[in-house]
This record gives sequence, structure tokens and C-alpha cells, in this order.
Amino acid sequence: MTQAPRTQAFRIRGGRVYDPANGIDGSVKEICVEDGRVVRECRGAAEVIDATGLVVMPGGIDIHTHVASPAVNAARALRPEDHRANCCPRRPGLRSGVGNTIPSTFNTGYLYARLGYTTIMEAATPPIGTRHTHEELNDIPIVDKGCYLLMGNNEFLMRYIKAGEMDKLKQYVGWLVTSLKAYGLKLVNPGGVEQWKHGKDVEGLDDRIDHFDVTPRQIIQALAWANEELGLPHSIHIHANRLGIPGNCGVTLETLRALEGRRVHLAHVQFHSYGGDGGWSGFTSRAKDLADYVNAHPNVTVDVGQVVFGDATTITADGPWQYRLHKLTKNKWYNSDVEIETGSGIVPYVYREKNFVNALQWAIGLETFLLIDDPWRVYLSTDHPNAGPFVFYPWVIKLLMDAPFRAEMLKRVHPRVASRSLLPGLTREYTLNEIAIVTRAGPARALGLRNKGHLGVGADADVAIYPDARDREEMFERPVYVFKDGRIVVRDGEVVETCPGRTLYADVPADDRLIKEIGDLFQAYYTVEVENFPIPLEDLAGHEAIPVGRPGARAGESR
Amino acid sequence: MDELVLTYRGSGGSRIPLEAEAITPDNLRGKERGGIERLTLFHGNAKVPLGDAFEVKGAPSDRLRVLGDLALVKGLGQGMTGGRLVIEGDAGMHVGARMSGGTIEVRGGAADWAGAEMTGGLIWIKGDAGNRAGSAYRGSKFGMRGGVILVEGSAGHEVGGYMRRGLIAVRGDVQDFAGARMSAGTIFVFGRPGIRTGGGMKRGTIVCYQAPEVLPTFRAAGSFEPLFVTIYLRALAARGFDVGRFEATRRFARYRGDLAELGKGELLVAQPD
Repeated sequence: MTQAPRTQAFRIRGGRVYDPANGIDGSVKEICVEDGRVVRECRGAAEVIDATGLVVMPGGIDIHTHVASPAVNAARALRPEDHRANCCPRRPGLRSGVGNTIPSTFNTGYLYARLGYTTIMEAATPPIGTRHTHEELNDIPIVDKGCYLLMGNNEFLMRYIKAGEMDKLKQYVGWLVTSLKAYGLKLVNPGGVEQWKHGKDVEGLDDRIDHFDVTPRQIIQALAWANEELGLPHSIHIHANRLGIPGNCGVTLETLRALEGRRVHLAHVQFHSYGGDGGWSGFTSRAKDLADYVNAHPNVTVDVGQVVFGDATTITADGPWQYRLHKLTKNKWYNSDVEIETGSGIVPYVYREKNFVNALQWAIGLETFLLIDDPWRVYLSTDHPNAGPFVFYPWVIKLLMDAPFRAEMLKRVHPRVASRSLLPGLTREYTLNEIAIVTRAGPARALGLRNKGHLGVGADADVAIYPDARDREEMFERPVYVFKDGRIVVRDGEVVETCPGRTLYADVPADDRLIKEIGDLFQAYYTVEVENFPIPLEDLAGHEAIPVGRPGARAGESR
Repeated sequence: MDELVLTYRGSGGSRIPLEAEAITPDNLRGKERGGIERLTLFHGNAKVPLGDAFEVKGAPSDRLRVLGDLALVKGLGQGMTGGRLVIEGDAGMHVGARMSGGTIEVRGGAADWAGAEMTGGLIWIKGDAGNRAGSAYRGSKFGMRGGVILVEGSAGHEVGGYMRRGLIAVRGDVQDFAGARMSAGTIFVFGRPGIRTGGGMKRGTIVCYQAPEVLPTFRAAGSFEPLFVTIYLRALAARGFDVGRFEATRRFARYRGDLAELGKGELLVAQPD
């Protein structure tokens, strides 16, 4: 399916350009595209795209989504009803597909492209399942993609921490990233998933993990250290302990304090900003406390995990939380123990406007967006499909840009939310420039993607051109043009041409010093031989190595 | 009274079913004959104009009669909201599935999934019903959520599986797992029930006139003379569903279960006088 992009040149004229990374805030500017890159001037003949009256942005970047992994596929198997809810027949040049909250691979690519998104990051792949993850990523067309390795409950890692063998730990992490063509490191409920294998969870950063005798704090700090030592382009990506539990904000802040001075990305922070004493009756928002911390600490970036009302599928490595959710909802439940690496749970969920908890979760997400002052460090996500499907991003954008619409929604949701949330008093409205930051420029910077999220010379020619509709939801759900690598892939909200997209991986130099020891551990503990574990580049449909080695880089650092 | 009559021209020996969910009173109402004949059906992956598969006669109306050997014609009346559909002969799978109103009369038998996930209306099957009548499709949380399914013959497995509301009455036998995982609603079984009747049921009522195998997760809870059974049978008789001698039975043993689940369901087993 890989085919070389045709050489094409375009002059995109007359559009108002929002390219925050280059300080361009809505001025009319010509963007020239040639050979898949943004160029200063096209050398030869170029097709002119009249973008007069339109808004031109870099292609969207989703820093946290779940679209490909053994768990995502298990969710598809668990939810045949989700396939029935959305069937997309084959069209000329496009494959058929199904799925409402968990679209099949081809549909996933089409749906992202139709929103003007051109890069997405699968936020959780267990190392042993990463071969499967890449197979699915290969099948997601158009967008570029990468994946984060689940590391927070890895038993080899905990052995090294316990033994104090930090150099080995770093080599092991580097070996995993290189072998598996991963982009970053993900921690999910560090230590808690290991405890779940014994029917328990962790409650705080200093709980001790059975057998290994290490703490979540040690795991988090060790991985943050290894991440920077290896110079990975993205910071560590954390799903903190106690997700979804009232009163968890304390643990969330403690996690951030444990990483003071180091880059850290906190995922779906909405699920981690809860007040209360553990029960749902006292459930309150602590988005303000979280936002205050983020505002004061430039080392922190977050994505929101904004709740969208309606059908969702919760898929996470956080096994103990999924068991709680299953008991709470009585919905069907999938649970899996992933060898010595992690776990996984799946529970279908419906977010309801009139449910107090769901409505407050919705409000907490918006509070987070509106209370964090620096848009460069807060990114749009719905933790797809955990807080809702990504196809609702345009709706979330409207909520951020349109205070009257937000007020109208606030009247529709559970009445107690207005008194338990700061949302009624928040009049801030995001500008188009800020939207371009939280959906494009900001994630690109946090991911260390130098050629993405902006339209400067040399950038990948991933461009989304939207109508300047008053209704910002309509605007963002129907781009007039989407370019991927300099080719028109979407016209008037429909996919007109498809291409494979590339898998982005962190180019950690191979370091095989530890291979003998890892091999012995594989012999003792894994179901696979170490020789069969690495994934060669030939197994990726298309790929791009992202350079490593900017130790000490900061999230807020400018290029 | 006006009536539209569709006569199936037959499959020509093909074993590939014809997908005919376009045939509902709602969809044909108000259309000229030409418009009806141009409606698209699917035969496997091939599009077939309705007029090629059926001869269309009569006046457009929300009363619809379908004739012919329809055992391989799927989805008749699927999703209909009103009107009347009479199927002269056997109906293929999914007849009346997801319907919310109106009446379907099947003069022969119906294949699997009759009335699956229906929310209202009536399906009256003069012959036998297949598996999973009134049940949930795979993966769904709820099966039938309203309406009535009457079966004069026997019925297959998992009748009323995941049922949420409504009434199913089967005059003949039912096979295994009747009312499995139901969360509300009522099922009458006048014939012989299969094994594991009511397995996993949370709430709801299954009335059996012949003794079922009662699962060990059901607990005997005495016997009584439920008035609602009499009321239901009279209502069925008034509609013309013959319940004959069964009206004489007044006393039922009650088993509550399934205690492996919520345990608020009941299995009522007719007691000899």
C-alpha cells in the first residue's frame, strides 16, 4: 500500500494563517507547498488554492488517543453493538469500516483526517503487544502516528529499581524503545496495576509494591530520569495513580511535586482533579488547584481528557480502576493480565448530561482548559475513547470559544454543577490562535516534533483549511481542504485521496550491552524468546526516525 | 380497504438471502408504484430494485401484504413504526426487529431474531419462531424493550434474552435459555421449556405451564394465585390468541432468581389443582 507521494506544488493564497509557533496570528499570508514540505517559494508551476475567507492552520496533532493496541482490539471484540452503531460502506478508493467509539483502523484514519488532524499518538501499548499495535498503526491511513510504551508496572524495571541498578534500567528502557520502534514512555497507575494482580491497588506515592518493595514514587522518578538521560523527544507521559476516584487531586499534585524541575506530561488531567473523600456524594472539582500548580510550574504539560456526553468505551491499563467502574455501572468488563508488564481493563460507559458526576466531570475538563493560563501547556484530548470519541473535538472547541454556548450547556446539565463548579464564572473564550496552540503547536512542541504543528519553511506540509464559520463546531468538523505531506486528502469534509502515513519513533541508538541479561530474564519470565521480541523497521509500513538527545529540554522551551 | 400486495418472484434457486429491510409500511406509504419498484434491496452484495424481486400490486397504503416463499427474505418490517404487515408464509430472519409500532402477522413461521430489540408493536407468528425472538443482538445491553410477540407454534433458544420490557407468549415448546439475562418483562411458555430457563435473569417474570428444570441458583418461594396471570390470559384471549384450557390453572409455585445475579426475577410454575 506504500506509494511514493506524487510531486505536487501548491500556493495557498488569501487565507488567514494561524501558525502560533512562528508568531503568525491570523494575518493573510501565502503558504507554498512543494514535495511534501512547506517552502519559501515554489520552484515551478504550482496549483493555486484560493483560501480567501478561510482559516489556515497546521494539521492537528492528538497527543493522547487510543486507536491501536491489543486492548483497543479487545474492546472492538467486546462491543459488537458499537460496530452496529456506525457502519461506513466502502467508497471508491476508501475501505469500509465500522465502529462508533472504537472505529476500525481505516475509519480511524479517515475520521481524523476529516477533522484536519494529521498526527496522532497511541498512548498505551504494552511492550509485548506492540507488534500488534504496529500492525494496526500500519493500517491507519493518512495520519502519521506513534506509540507510547507502558512502563509503569514493568517487572524488569522494578527489579532494577530495587537493586539500585539505574544504569541497567536506562539501558533496558533504551533497548525496549529501540526494539519496539516506540515514541515515548507511558506510566499508567505506576505500581497500582502490579498490585491489582494481587487484587489490590496503591493509595499513595509511598505505598510499597509487593515482592519488589519499590514505591510508585521511585518508579516515576526512575523513568523520568531515564527518559531525559535517553533524550527522548517527549517527556514521560503519566496516567497518575487513583484515576477517577473522588479526592484523587492530592495524589496528582504529589506526583507532580515528585517531578519538580523535570519535564512531565500528565494525561487526561480531568480524571485526576477530583476533590472529596473517596465517596461520590462529596465529589467536587479541584481543577483550580491543579491549574494553579500547572501555571506555576513550566515543566508540566497536560492533556485534558474532556468528557463528551454520550457513548464511550473506557480502555485502560489501569486494571483496578476498571474493576471499580464495572462494579459501579454493572456494564460488561474485560480484564487482562499482560505477563510481567502491565494489565488492561475495558468497560463500556455512557456519560449523561443529567448525571451529576458526569456533568461535573464535563465541567472539570472545561475548568482545566480555562484556568490554565498558558495554552502551550494544555492540549485538547478526550482520552479517546475513554471520555468520548475524538470526533467530538469540534464540539469541545466550540465550548472553549463560545461562552454563551457554554452557558447554554451549563443550563442543560445536572443543576448542581453550577454551584459546585467555577465554570459559571469563567468568561474566558479561546481565540483561534489559542485553538491552534492547544490542538497543534503545543502538542508538537511537547512531543519534540520539529517539523509538525507549524507552517514555517521546512515543516511537513500537513495543513488544515477551515471555513471561518461563526459556529465553531461547524467550522472545525468540515475542513475545506486538508493537506497531508503536500497532497490534498480531504475536500469539503470528505476524504478524496488516501495515503499510508508514517510511524514516528524515537531514534534511540541501539545499545546491546545488556542483551545477555535481558535474554536470561526473558527465558525465565516471558512467553516469548528475546530474539522474537524486537520489531524490525521493515515491519512498519512507513516510518520516520525522530532524533533524540536534548537533555534538560523543558516543555515550555521555545525552539 | 386499500392494500399493497408484494409477491416475491422467488430466489431462482439462490441460497443467498435477500436483504429486504426496505419493506416496511413506513417506507412504502405515500409512494407511487414506480417509486416502490425502484427501492433498493440487497441480494448478497448486489443491489436489486424491489420491482425485480417482487411483483407490486394494489394501492399504496400502510397495509401491506407480502406473498411467496419468504424464508430467505430477511428483515421484513424491520424498524417499522406503524401500519400493518401481513406475511403469507414463512418469514426470514430479523422480521420486525427493532420495530417500534404497528402490527406484523406472520402466517407461517419466522426464522431467528424475530422482534429482536423491538420497542413496541405486535408480532404475531402463526407457526414456529426461531432462536432469539425478542432478544438482544450480540453485545447489546437490552433485548426487546416493549411490545408483544405471540407465537402459536414453538420457539427456539434464548427467547427473550436480555429482555427489558414487553410480553412474549409461546404456545408451544421453547428451547434452552428462555429469558436468559432478562432484566424485566414477561414471558409465557405454555409448552415444554428447555433447560436453564431464566439463567442470569435479574428481574422479570417467566410463567411456565410445564415444569422446567429449575436452576440451583433459583430459590423456591412458596406458591400463590397471581391475579396478573389471569388478567394477561384474558387479554390474550380477547385479542384472539387461544389460551383455552390454561385459564383454568390458577396456582403457581414461585422460584426467585437468578441469585447468581440480582435475584429479583421470578419463575412461576403451574401447579396441578
